[in-house]
Amino acid sequence: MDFISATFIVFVVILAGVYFMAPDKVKWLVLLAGSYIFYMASSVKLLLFLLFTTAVTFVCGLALGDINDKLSAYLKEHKQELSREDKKVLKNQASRKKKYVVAAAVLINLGLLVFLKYFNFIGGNLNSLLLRLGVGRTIPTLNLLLPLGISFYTLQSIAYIVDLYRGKYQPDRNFFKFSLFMSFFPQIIQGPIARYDQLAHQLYEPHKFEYTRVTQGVQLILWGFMKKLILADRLAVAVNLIFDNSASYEGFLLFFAAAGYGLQVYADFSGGMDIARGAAQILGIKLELNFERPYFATSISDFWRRWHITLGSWMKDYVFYPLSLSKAFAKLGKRTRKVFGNYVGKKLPTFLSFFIVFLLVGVWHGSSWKYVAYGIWNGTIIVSSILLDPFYEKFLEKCHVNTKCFSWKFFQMVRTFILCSFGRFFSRAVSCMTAVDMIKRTVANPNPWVFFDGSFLELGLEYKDFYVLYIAILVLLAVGVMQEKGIHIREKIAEQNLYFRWMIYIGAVVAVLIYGNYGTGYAVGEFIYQQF
Amino acid sequence: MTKTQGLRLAVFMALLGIILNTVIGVFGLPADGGTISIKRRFGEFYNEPEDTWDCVLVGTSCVDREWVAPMAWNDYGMAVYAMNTAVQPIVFTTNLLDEVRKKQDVKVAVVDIRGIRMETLKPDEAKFRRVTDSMEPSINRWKTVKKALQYSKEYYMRDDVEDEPKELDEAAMYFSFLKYHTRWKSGLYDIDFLGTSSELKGVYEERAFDTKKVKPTEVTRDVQELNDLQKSILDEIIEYGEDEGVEILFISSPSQLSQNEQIEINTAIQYLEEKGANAINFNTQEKYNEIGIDFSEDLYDKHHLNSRGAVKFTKYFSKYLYDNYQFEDKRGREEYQEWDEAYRKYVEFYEDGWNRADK
Repeated sequence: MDFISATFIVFVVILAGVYFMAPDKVKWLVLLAGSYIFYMASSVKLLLFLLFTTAVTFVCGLALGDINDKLSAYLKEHKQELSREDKKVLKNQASRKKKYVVAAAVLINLGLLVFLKYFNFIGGNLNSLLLRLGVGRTIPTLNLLLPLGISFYTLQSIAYIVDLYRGKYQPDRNFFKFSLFMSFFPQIIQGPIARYDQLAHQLYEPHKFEYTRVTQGVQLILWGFMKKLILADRLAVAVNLIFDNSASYEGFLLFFAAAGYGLQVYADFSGGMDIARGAAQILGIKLELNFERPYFATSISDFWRRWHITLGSWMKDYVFYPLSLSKAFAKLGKRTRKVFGNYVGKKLPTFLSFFIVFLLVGVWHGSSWKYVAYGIWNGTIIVSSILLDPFYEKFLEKCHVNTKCFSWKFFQMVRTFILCSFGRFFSRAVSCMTAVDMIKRTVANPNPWVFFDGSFLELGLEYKDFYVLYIAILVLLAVGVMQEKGIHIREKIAEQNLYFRWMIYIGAVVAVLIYGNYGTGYAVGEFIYQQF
Repeated sequence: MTKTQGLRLAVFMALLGIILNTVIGVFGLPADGGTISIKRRFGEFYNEPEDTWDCVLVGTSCVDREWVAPMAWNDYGMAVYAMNTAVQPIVFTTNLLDEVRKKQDVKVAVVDIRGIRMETLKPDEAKFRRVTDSMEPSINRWKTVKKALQYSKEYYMRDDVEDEPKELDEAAMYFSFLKYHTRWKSGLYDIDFLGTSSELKGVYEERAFDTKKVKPTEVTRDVQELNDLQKSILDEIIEYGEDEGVEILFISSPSQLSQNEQIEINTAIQYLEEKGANAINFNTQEKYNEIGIDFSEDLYDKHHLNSRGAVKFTKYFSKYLYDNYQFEDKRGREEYQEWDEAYRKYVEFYEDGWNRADK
């Protein structure tokens, strides 16, 4: 079931109606049933994968809980008899057991994801290698289906297991409730990637109908529709045309496509998030923010703090810190200090961890070398910016550059936007080599006359479409500026006169209906992150 | 939710509904080219006082080109309205009659059978839309769209059809806003906002005073075999008339027709007569002479009469209707003042039009 469909709106209305009318005790069951109906509307067969991951995670969670419980009980029971050393041994034994359980859960869940998502990619590359080595045997290409949302719910399940291992909370002992945590419909398809301690209790608690909350949820959904239908899908027309026929374009038009794609992905993904968060808010559930105005970022690392926040924080908690604080990386740091000096040696574990994180972020997006390159692009920029930071600081100081004024911040934002846009060549181009070729031709053949010779009107968009795009971007920008200043837009609107509020709401509905890219001649694009 | 909130929500939803209904109304079938007369005609139909019509004419574009409703009114006091659309799919005849009969209790329907030719039976979204998008939202409209979709599928499954199937945008057929909401790009007209209706009771205005010298029809009496699709469509209309108590009169409108076109029409007329239906072929030398059709001045192109030809045809056909169907003379009745007014305006329209054209 697509978010952008009448079916989804009807589904949310019915589900909310049933949820609020149901007795408190069974409210969570309504959500569970709704979430499974939502998932099954897309595919019944693929539901088995979700059930499998849920079952594996649940059982492993129970196992971890049992190990903890048994250890605690034993320690409590034999408190007097056990020496400190004995306790340490027991704890180590339990820790080892827990590690096996975590490893099993991660291997099974991640293994399934890797198998389904990357088997053909890995197989294809191995085949090329085998061919070069003269080995006749090849790995077959399998016709694999990728279950909806697997990239998201797998990460969610891993976070749950690792947090249990870390003793952050107790395991869920109700399989059905846990199934709801794993399958909650607004976030199953494209996130946000939820943490058990943030989401589960909200799902299990009953929520009453609250007029203000429900209307705010509806407003958020409407905002998501605006972003997706008016901006993202309109930009997609030109972006797709250029990327699908990249050889026919040069210079600025290629950059326009890359920058446009960045904006498209933002409007598309954050629009999807708004719809997800809005639907959850109607039901009284608060989902995590996934975007904080990424195009206001002043550096690539700042950009990644604002972009796909739940993936970033997942990577930070479950990859970056475990890696950078690991004994192996600490040893590596010590050794390299001797060779490269203190600064590099000290920073190396961080650099390597960053690099690995961004490589994983890139690969998480899809099974293609272009995503590997996308990860390397981001990782390289971040690592080099940290590495060059002292020199950069000195340079600015020598040149007497005022870094406290708006113009400097604006320059940083533009610079970040350009760097991000170049990165988009990798994530959107047909292949890695095409992306490299497009970058080359963007830089080598600047053609400023395209702004004046009507080239932009040959990208599948009419001039009136560009007006709509300008206005939509301006609205997005204005909202962004207000949010940066800490203004809560929906609350601000709620303070206005009734007539003005209604004008805004009705205007927004009419704008989506008239200016949205849907209907005859258009196929409402699937959410981009839904495909990851 | 408090009572105030509930009330506020209800008012908001009602307001939203009204605004959306208006917006959807504006972004409808474009009022340009050939569709402007269709919009005008359907607009008038929905504004007509209920149960004031005696008879309705349905069919392709030749119908409103040949029929001058105000003249028939003035001569015989009969209210006979043309509800045709350009290349109207004949398969929609019964649906259109249902639509008319929701407002007008007509006992006689005249069906032009030019649309029975295989060439015109080919499904085409634009042809379908001229009918379905002109209809107000209703169960009948829903049924008509459903029928169009079904017909289109079945047509392309026929053994004698070799064309590649053309997919119809199903959702947009039901909800025309899906197609027309992008009209802000191509341009909206004042008529889209203000609505329109005919003051001349559906008289065709756009090219009424053009003249084209056309080669007269080389009349043939040849016939061939109708295929099962053509037969089933005609059967459906006959059965509809029998079931609903509506007298159906099939006609072949006068115009220049090729030999092949005549053969198909002749065959259909023969089939209808064999079935005991009333049918008149106006494309015979005898009928041309009786009406007084002059191919050098009564048509504006080979398929359509101009207003001069329309007046001749209306004189002839309205007399036929008057002689053969017992329509009450309603001239002088208060509720038919609009028809009197329409005749007065038509006379002005006709005289001014030809004066301008002759200059």
